[in-house]
Amino acid sequence: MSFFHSLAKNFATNFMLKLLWANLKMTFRDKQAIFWSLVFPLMFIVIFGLFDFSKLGDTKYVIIDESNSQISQQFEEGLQAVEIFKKQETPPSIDEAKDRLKNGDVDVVIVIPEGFHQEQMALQADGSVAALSPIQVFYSASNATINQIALNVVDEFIDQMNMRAAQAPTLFSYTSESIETKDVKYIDMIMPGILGMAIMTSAVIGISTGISRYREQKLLKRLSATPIKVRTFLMGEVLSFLIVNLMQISLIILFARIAFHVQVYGSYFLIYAISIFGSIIFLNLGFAVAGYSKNTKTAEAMSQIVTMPMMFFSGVFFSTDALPNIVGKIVEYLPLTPMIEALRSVSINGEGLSAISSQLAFMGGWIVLSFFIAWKLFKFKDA
Amino acid sequence: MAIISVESLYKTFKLPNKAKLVAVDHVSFSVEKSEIFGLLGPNGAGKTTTLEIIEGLQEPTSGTTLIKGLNTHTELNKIKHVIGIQLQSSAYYEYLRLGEILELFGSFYGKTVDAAQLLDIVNLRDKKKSLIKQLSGGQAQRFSICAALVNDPEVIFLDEPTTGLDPQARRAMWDFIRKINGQGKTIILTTHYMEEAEFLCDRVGIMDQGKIIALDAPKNLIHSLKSSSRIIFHSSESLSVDELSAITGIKEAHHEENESYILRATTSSEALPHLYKWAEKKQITLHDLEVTSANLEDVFLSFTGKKLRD
Repeated sequence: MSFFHSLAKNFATNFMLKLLWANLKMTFRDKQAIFWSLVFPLMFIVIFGLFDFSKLGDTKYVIIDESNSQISQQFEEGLQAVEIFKKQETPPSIDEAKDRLKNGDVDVVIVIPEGFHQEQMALQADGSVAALSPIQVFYSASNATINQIALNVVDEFIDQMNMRAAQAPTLFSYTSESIETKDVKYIDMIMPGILGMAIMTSAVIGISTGISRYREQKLLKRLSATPIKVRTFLMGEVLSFLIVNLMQISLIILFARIAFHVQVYGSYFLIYAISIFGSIIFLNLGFAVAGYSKNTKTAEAMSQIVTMPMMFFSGVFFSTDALPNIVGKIVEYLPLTPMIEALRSVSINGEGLSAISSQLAFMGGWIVLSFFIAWKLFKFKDA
Repeated sequence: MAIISVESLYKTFKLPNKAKLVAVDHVSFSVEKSEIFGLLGPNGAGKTTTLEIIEGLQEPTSGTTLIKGLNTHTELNKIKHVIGIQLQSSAYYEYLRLGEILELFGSFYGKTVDAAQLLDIVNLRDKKKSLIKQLSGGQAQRFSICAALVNDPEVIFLDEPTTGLDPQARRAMWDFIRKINGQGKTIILTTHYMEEAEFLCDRVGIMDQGKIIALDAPKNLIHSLKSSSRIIFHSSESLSVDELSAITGIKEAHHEENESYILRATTSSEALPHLYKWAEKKQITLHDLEVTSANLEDVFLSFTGKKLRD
């Protein structure tokens, strides 16, 4: 109550606004701050936006269909729909196909075995669906990138077929549908990660180095000689950073949309709310680093130590599923991880509040914890 | 009536080796309204600590500090509106223009300031749109004094206002301080330049090792010395220091390098005729004879036995 009361009073006396305005002016005159908060994240968007997988070259594949069933034809049609997959002339035998793979004429050989047909997919007595004979995929170990993509496509395709098979009472209801995947590009996946990263780095580095520079230059001491309250000063800092964060995410989203047609499927309101939530955590951590560090140099190094691991492990550039098990478990507890997960669910999957409630709860916990750490470590005056 | 009074101020710091450092050792003094009061002493004498305790920026171990009868620690919020502070080597916002800084600081006091008029006082009006880093050392120092004036204070604290400035900039700064004082503002400053204290201050407290060892108007301090002038001359001959100091009116004699001799005299008018007579009798020529009056440096020396700037 007293917090909001004093906020209202400060705004009424107008110097809170003056302080806020001054802080914003300073941020925009500080080229380094602008680089880290606005230019740096946009650079990532450009790099990943231009990183086009189709440019890696088409994947040439051959398919040998030994079952010649309706399902196998469906599968073949599905593969043909994948843009980067280019079907080559079917060789007379598997051995011949493998030779072509060795020569590098084709990248992937797919063999659909004899047992791959609908009779095998009929419901068993216990209600489960019997597994089909596995599709065999041969690929050359020398071409890791193409393999990764090719296997993913096959995997996803089979997953979808499995899902449909498990849910569908009759098998033929799906066969007439073409298999569609939402056109999610890598940049769509990256953009929410960049949002989280931008907010984290600008808040932690910005607050910690900014405040310790103020302390080093004795500006904090000079301010303590004026009637301005410590909490007013801190509020001015926090509010101006939140405003900068809002500008950051608006700019990143706008740029990603215009330049790379990135789609946000969920609500923008949620994106902003998650961002502000995360921003508060990282501002607290920034104050904690500023309190811990004796000078600006230490503050810079310390904030790198805090942000670097999260930048690489919290899923900015890839999903945390790809991490080794133990690392993945640890990473789950870092504040950036739930933030990016929530942003991604809203942005890519169009999820609502209920789907991200556990992430938000986790972030709420971090707000409390980080505030406590900042409270313990941060001192306004020199000791 | 005293505008500032300091009573038995005592401040200790804990050193890393758990020893106790006495920074300010039972200091008492008062500052009169509209005067320029100086604390003169070497680095580490306790001047800045004393000043910052009076300003309410540091807590005393014991003792009281009052401004206009208000305790500067229990009634700091009222005090802040009465005083203006310039800190030793403090910076201001890097990315705000001078005018913007003054307006922002003014808003902290709930005042609307005329930045141009304030900058006029220290001849910086044309720098209103500059950033701090575009100023010279002297200009930056002048600005920090200017920033101490935003709330139109009655008492202004200046901590080493001319340290690091060249002689010309220092002279200019003295003029500005006098000008501000001329507007009826009480000024209390610290310095380790005795010329500054002598030229600028109505009264000076000389500090050493946390104590005020002498306090009076600079002239009175100098007059209180047993030797009020110094006689310097060169001679190619080797003279006896004992013989020189035996001359009437000469208190001490020293032989320095470069064949120069320094004599301390009670007064030059008493000592000089005797010195001439002695030189005539001995047929010695006194080259480059120079007579200077004693200064605060000599006062410091006579009280502490050491030089101010060692």
